[in-house]
Amino acid sequence: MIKGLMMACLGLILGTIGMDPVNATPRFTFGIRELYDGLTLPAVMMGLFGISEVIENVGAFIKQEVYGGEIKGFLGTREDWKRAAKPIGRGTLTGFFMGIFPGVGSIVPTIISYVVEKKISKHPERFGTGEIEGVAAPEACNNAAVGGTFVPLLSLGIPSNPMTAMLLAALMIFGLHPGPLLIQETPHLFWGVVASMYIGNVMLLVLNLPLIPMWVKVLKIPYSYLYTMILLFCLIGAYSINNSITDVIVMIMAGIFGYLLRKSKYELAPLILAYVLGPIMEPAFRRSLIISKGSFSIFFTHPISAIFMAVTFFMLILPLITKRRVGEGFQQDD
Amino acid sequence: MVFGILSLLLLVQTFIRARRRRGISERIRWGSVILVLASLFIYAIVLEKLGFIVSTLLFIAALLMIIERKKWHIVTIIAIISTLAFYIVFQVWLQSNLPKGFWGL
Repeated sequence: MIKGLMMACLGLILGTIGMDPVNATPRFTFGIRELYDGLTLPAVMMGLFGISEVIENVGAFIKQEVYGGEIKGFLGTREDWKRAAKPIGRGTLTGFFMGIFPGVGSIVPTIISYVVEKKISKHPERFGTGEIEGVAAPEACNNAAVGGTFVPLLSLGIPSNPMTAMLLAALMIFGLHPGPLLIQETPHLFWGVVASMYIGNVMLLVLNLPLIPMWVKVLKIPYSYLYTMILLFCLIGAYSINNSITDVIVMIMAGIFGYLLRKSKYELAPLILAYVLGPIMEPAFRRSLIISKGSFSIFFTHPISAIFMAVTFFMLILPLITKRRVGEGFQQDD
Repeated sequence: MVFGILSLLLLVQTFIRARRRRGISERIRWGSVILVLASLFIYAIVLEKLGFIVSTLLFIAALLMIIERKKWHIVTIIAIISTLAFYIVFQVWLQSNLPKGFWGL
């Protein structure tokens, strides 16, 4: 929690690089003209998530694991399906609704749905031995949570995990501005994404079931070739945003930075979240302060903002209470 | 500014402390990490001077040769094939403006 908040603050600080939105003073640019527009978002993201991941893997001694065994019986029996149906339904709902909240990620909902299944189950003592309810609900939940993360991404332009952050970067490279106006301005893109989800999932099922043995082989591509290609994709991607070397250097720096953060077990998601929101938040914040002539009471005396303040405060306190309860659930049963 | 410096300091401090606690259990191939970073920086500096094709060839060759220690003929083949593939995908198909060097490549 504290590390997450620290990362969020750091993201806000990084977001202040560039021109001041109110009186256009350059901040933290150290006289480098290319930084006047701030750090380019896709470059920062590719660095933090892409480059740092590659550096981490290159630096590790562990050889990649290849799955050797054979896989059979993908479809399960009728009995399995009957038992899994309800947990799948519950897991999907939990996952989707928790996935909508930015910053929750897919791990927390997964754990919650596991605990819930365990609580509901008639024989919780068998959980942990491959009980079908205990597998189906969390798996359905974490898939649904991924779908849920698209809601803030497409409606508000807020990425809530590394994957949506990369998608956001991709949308920006194509010259789109993900945000509240995305659906209005480019409806074809929005509905295209929605349609692709339907088509994609059907294709996934049809193509992947017979092809599972082949996908396992893809994992056998030696990492030494794979990471060279990943690095090149990132380099070319960063260069072609503005055709400028500055973005490439920003990306490499972000990569080093991300690697150090990863190694010290800091979460990168809050950082990127704050970095995306900071430049949107700051002008609004400053404008309110100008309206109130510099008094912070404007945020507490007006009903709408006061309610949001209360909700925020509640959200900050909430994990302290719920985390303990979920933790207890785990300890009791295992 | 002050906050930035302070948080950086705290970060470095935590990093050092975490490493000391971890001890020998997790070893990191610092050599490879630094070589990868060095080649990334060199690529970034050289890209606009030598052009995309030459610098990418050198980049792939450097990574595979120095860090992964592959045999030179495999390195040559892979470097040429993947540079061509990248060029076709990005320059010809997606029409992004890859930098040309001083001899027009």
